[in-house]
Amino acid sequence: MNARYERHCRRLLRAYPPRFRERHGEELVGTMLDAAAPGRDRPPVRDVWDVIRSGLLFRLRDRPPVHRWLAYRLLGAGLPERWRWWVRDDVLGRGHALRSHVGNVALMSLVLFALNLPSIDPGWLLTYVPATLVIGMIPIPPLNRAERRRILTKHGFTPDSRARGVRETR
Amino acid sequence: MKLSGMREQSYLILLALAPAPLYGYGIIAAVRELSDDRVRLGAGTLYGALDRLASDGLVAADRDEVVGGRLRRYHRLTGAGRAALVAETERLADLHARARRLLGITGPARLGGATA
Repeated sequence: MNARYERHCRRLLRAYPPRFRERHGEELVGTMLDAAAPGRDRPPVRDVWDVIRSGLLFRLRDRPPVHRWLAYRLLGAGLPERWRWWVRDDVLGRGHALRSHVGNVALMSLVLFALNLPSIDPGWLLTYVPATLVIGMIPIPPLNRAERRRILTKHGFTPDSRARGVRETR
Repeated sequence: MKLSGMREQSYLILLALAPAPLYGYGIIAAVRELSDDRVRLGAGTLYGALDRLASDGLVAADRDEVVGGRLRRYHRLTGAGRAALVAETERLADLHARARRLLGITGPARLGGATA
């Protein structure tokens, strides 16, 4: 009974990103269990909503500002130290290759579009854009892996995503 | 009721930590008691608030204990946290006194709760 309650709590925790879960997850689950009314299988709706909401808010708030995010996503710019754990979550997260490819394709298309504005044939646009999107999204594992390693190293992590340095900071 | 300045939630959490460091559920229980059962923090809200207070330098981690296989992390008020708490208390007391004057409420203040 308690084990089921705990399983529910752990599942709810996924509303938070990995960097939060790794740091506060155990504590949060422990608190939910401490606050649990006896004889329950699952947390009350109120608490469920509380955790989901807080997790989503955390994701929304704890991200780099738009201009930095764009530079990171489209130009491969490094983000300041404050965001390095966000970067780690981004790189290790599902669909990283896709997310960064869509950005590159979008940027490339915009540039080509701007350069060719006067002479663009609408028919061409209709074939070019979907074609580039599809091609751009083809995963090439060795390249994707190299890209991930590059980004991790750039932000002070070892290629296998552990933090470099003596102290474990935020 | 949200007054300008510190949120009520943050204020209550800081106040709860004033006597001694507390762990998660301890804070929730203390806040509930301090607010006469009015403010019931969920675990998510609590950790969101603690996160903000920590990044403002008002609270810090104190120690970890494992009780019954569960992790209990104690949080404490920092010096800056205590100072902020005192400042906010003074501000509220000042506002309270002014409000009473403006409203013509005389006599001793009606304080809730049995303990100081």
